[in-house]
Amino acid sequence: MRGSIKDNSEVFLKNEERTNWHDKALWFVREKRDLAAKSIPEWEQLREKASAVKMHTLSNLDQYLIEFEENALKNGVKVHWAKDGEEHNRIIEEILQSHQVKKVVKSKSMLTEECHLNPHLESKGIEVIDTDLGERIIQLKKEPPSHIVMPAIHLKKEEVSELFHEKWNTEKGNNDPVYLTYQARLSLRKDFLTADAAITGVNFAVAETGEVVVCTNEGNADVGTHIAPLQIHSMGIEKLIPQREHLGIFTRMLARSATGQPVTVYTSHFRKPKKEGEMHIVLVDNKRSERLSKEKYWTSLKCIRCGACMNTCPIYRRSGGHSYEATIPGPIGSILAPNLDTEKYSDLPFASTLCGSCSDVCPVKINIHEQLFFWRQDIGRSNVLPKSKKISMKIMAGVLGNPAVYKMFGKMMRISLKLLPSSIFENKLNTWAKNRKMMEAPKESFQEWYQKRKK
Amino acid sequence: MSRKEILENIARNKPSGEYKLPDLTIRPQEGKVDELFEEMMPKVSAKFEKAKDYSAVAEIIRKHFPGDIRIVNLIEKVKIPGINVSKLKNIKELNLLDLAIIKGDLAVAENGAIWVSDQNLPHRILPFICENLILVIDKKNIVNNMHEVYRLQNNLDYNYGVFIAGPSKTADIEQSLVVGAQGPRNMLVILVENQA
Repeated sequence: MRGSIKDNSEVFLKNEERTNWHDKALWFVREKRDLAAKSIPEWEQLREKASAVKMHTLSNLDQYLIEFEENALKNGVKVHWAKDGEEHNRIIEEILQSHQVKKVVKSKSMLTEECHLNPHLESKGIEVIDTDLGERIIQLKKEPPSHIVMPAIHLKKEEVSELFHEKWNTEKGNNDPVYLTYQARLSLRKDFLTADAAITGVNFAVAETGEVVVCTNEGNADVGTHIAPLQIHSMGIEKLIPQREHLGIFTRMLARSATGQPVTVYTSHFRKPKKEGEMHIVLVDNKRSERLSKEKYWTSLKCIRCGACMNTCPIYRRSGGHSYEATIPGPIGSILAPNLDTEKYSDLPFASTLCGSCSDVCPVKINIHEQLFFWRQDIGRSNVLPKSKKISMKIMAGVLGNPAVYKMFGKMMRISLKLLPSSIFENKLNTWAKNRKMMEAPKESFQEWYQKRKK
Repeated sequence: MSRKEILENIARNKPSGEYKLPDLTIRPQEGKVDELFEEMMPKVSAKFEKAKDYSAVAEIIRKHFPGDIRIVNLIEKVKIPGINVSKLKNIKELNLLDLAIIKGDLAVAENGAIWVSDQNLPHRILPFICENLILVIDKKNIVNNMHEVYRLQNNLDYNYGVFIAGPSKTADIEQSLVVGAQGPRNMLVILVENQA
């Protein structure tokens, strides 16, 4: 059973100091993003163009996929098609089994998280090592990522130090990030040298040339793929762009939006397998083709997974990524997850203030806050909304929809807030008053005040 | 066959509106590209030196790395002896290589990225497996921005290529920037003013 974001964030918020720390850490990244974006005078132009390229590609996706496959095959790459996560995992398992692979090094990929590849391979006796530092940390801690770019952003260095001490016998109490990073480097280097295969995600795939582009800061995707004889790249079908020239737009925006860097340290272009090596690309649908038909939601497929909407979101920053219990948390996750299972994730579109900051920072101009609102309407109309929410929304609709009732209700509330003891309002049913005092009621409504003033 | 099913689903579901590809002309940033590029070096945690020609490159490298270390030098014009990679039995022997000296084809002023492809690399792992990396770039090969670099590379024939902007780094522990993640822990860029 999935826990609701409301209950989960309540637990997260119990530790106020940690909540404030988390909030600040992410806001720091948001500020770096702003500086990076402002350093480019044509930023808004780039956003327009990025969005246009994605809309064009998505509306011709079948042709571009065929073109991509044709060119990848010409490059000597093996191409596979998976309609869902299960098939994706089976394909990868078969490739690995046919090479007698015992150990795989994997670089960051939200798609393999979405498909639950790691547990699948592990159940078949194949060891999987996540090689991005943040991913390795949470893998050792047996946790899912809490952010798509900074998977271990929820952990403090003391916790990482403790974890490394326990797993690798590093110096106890040494919390220096430089020391800890170096220890992880030593451990991961051994894994890189002994792995039989490397798996990576894909940031962009170019139809015109059949190449895939992978962006990292650590270099882990490259160290993995260049040493292991077998390399596999898993990609969602929406990662496609028509031509190599379009990479210019996206590589300028991805890192600036994600971390405020001018570009990721490595932007790697894989076209053909290395000498005596083998290269596979797995194209995954997993309900993406279905989403193309949804008029209000198909543009969410433009997402390039930069995470900017998370860093800016007041709800994400003060709830933590784990509270969403979805592969992708934050505003974008809240409009992606209901496409996969509307009932299971029906609470996520409500976890938003609809302030619109997510849409403002989105490099591909997804109308995230509007889609959140559309999902609320669709979920409200369907039968998946919790009963308490449904009843209270019905009452509110009645009050707000009728001026006379609204006036009377307002008066009633002002009088009762003044006269009745606060315990009446600050009860369990009123979740608003859970961590707040009820406000003091004004003497008159705005309308009453305005009428008087007009006289 | 999932291929057929996926393609049919897309054909049936894709939006019917006409969405045109945008015009890609974007005004380059103002300023001299070599100066803009140099400004980016500290921002991507790379060290930077200028050399008047290739013999000066060798001097700079000896100054930075005076000791007896394991070197792979892939630039013929730079007279520094090193390991002959064509004689390696296994690329894993390169683990903990002290220094790799590699030629970059093109450099980008707006972000300090340098293009290295397997046209210059006998093994793709070389710029990643070394502890220290030196990329040498000719002044005439600096371009303004990413649009320009991709345009220039059209029809470029490579099997693997990478833009490298600084040494490998991570900020995965409490957002503290640490240089030296899984790739090189140190990077020096040498700009050659006169490539002859």
